[in-house]
Amino acid sequence: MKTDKNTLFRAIGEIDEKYVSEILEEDASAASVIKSFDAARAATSAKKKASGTKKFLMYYLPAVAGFLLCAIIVKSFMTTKVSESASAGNSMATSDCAAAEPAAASEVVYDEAETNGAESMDATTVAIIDEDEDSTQSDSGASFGVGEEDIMIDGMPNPFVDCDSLEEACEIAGIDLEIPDDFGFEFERIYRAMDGRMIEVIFMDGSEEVYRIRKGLVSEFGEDISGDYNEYSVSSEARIAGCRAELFGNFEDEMMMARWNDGTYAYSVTCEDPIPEASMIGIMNMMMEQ
Amino acid sequence: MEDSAIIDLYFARSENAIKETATKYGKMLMSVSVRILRSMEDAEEALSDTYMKTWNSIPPTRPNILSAFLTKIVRNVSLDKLDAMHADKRGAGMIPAILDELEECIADNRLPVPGEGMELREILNSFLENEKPESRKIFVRRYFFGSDVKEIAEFYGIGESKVKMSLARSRERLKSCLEEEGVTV
Repeated sequence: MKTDKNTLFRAIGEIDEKYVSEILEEDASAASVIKSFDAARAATSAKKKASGTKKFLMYYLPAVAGFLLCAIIVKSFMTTKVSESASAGNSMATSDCAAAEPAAASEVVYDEAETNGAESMDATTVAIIDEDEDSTQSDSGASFGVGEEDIMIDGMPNPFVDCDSLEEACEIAGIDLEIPDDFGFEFERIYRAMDGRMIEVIFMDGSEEVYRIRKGLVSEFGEDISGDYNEYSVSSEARIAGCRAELFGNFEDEMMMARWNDGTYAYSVTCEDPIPEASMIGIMNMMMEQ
Repeated sequence: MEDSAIIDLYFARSENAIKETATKYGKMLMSVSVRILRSMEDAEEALSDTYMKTWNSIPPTRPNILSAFLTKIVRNVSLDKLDAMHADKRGAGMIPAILDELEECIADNRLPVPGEGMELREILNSFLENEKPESRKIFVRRYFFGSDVKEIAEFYGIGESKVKMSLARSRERLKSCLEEEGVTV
């Protein structure tokens, strides 16, 4: 009956305040974290833009200019050499071309040079330019397409194993870590583990990292497992589950990193964008709630 | 301002109590009222009535959790307003859908009579106490705050089907609770 369902709906309005409060706190916390992230993200992307331009002017532009200059010198040198060899005679042309082309190709050039030295020179020049272009692409790939960190990683194995779930990461790391489902619900999570030593969770907003948390063995990594070696101008302290924690940032109430340990495990939180101290402490407390 | 200080203002009968309440909780209360009334204008009126009711309730009441206390008042005030506005076609908007869902909880459309077994409020509290936090929060968001399924799904970063499934299971459990407490099938 209509009245009855209305009565039930009204009665739900009389439920214990703690259940209402639970939702209000969740809303307030989500709003504050989202707000701080939004503001911080805007500031950081502006910073990133500026630093990208600076990097381009300081490193990439001179590198590209230098490379182009080298290419021009090599090209003109080779052209001159080939011209000289062509005018000196067919045998010399064959010899020079053989130096620039594979042996099989040199025979073709030899035949062509016999009939038309100029054509063979053009063909050789084109071949050299193509090689230049290839090397330009590969060099530019190293300069633009791959960051410094990636180049370093290419040379060494990645110690982290990507996992499908937090449970899997915990199993591989042999470390317990609980993260409530509704924590950072708006971000995607990447779970990673280092066999028997460390667990890492990265919270992503699309393709951008928002923050990452780590828990690892003090005996393996020492007291600082953050991997963040930046120098910060502001620091503060907090007590997290009875442990002394250090928080770092560049401005008051804008924290970028936190680290602490309980003697057995070291913990860290690193943020791409600064977040309020209260939000940082919220994340830290969440990590210790087990 | 801290909640305790705002409550003290009410007890001191200072009109700043309402001002501070509006500053701290006005936006949140407005959002609760708008969900029910679907009109900013009506919600603003409901908010004024809420402040008045709060003024009349404190003292003597000293709320344990001021935000929850205010939310319950604004919800009731908004529903009263909705009743008055749509006496014959109650619940234009989302409320009929919520009411229809809740009807599933009542086996033969009867609710326990006061004095027979537990009071309805107690049954609901007992039911919520036994729910897992995730399903409890989804239930309260839907049936207390009147949030729609999509909104809840987006908030928790889960699919709408998961929210619907959670609500359906919660309703089933609530139905069992109601039956156990005297509602005959």
